[in-house]
Amino acid sequence: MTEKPNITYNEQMLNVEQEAGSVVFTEEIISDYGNAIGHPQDKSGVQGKIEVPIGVLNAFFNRSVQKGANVELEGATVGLNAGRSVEMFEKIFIGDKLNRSAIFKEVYTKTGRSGTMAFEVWEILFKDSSGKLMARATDSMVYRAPGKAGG
Amino acid sequence: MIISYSEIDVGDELPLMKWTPNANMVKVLMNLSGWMDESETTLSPMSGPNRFTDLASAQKEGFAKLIVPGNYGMMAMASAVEKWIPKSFMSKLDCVFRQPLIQDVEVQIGGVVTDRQVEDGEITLELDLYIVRDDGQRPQGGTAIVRISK
Repeated sequence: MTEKPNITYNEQMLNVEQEAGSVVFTEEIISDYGNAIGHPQDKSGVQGKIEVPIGVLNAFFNRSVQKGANVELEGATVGLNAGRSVEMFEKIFIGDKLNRSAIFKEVYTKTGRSGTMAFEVWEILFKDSSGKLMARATDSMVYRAPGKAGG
Repeated sequence: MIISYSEIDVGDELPLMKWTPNANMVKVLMNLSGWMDESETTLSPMSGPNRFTDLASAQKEGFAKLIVPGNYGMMAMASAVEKWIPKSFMSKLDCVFRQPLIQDVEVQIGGVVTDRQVEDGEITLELDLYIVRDDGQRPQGGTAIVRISK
């Protein structure tokens, strides 16, 4: 018989869209990203507009905007990023200012040989000033006991 | 040998790209994410010493060495594709983080084209992407959708 994992989280936060500030994609951001990742970005652009690569968005889809879920799994003291999916619905250019928000979507558990792990799933959205969805990330965190796989 | 991007087809492989994530790279990218800014009124979960910047913190969580935030591997995957097909638009990128990437340990990034569609002159490619270590293990794997305009 499988024991039910002892897990708690803030159910009231589920599907609540929380504003998480805005981001202006500056040339400096694109340069810092390109130099750090070892791939300086092409500044030639198309008709004077320089695109923001999907990898840069990735830097702004992060834990600092995922607040209030308060996932607690008994025995799990480590939280790691388990996976992510990023979609860009429209091209984003240097100088664009986008509003960011985050939605706590779900929590589920998986139990294997190494014990139970809890997965916390968020969506992070980037919208333009008219509210048009420009990009979305689905981000999954895993909570587990120390010393197992993860990234 | 591929002569032009329009000739890329199912089964074509992304040239393997060597990549060694290091402490400076981690610091710059964490700074972009706002993780290094301790002046914020609400610190992020990654502010202060952590498994990416502090060896004792990493070891406390069961890692022998400093690790790399998982999504930076995604960035390297995107970069490998952009180097191969520079004038393209990556509209989707996903990744599963199976095992941690270790700082200062070289890995390679590769991939293969799994689907190709052409509509109104625009080519859409789907790719399987992976990060492979020297021992053949693949700590991260994902997929991407890339569009190449006329």
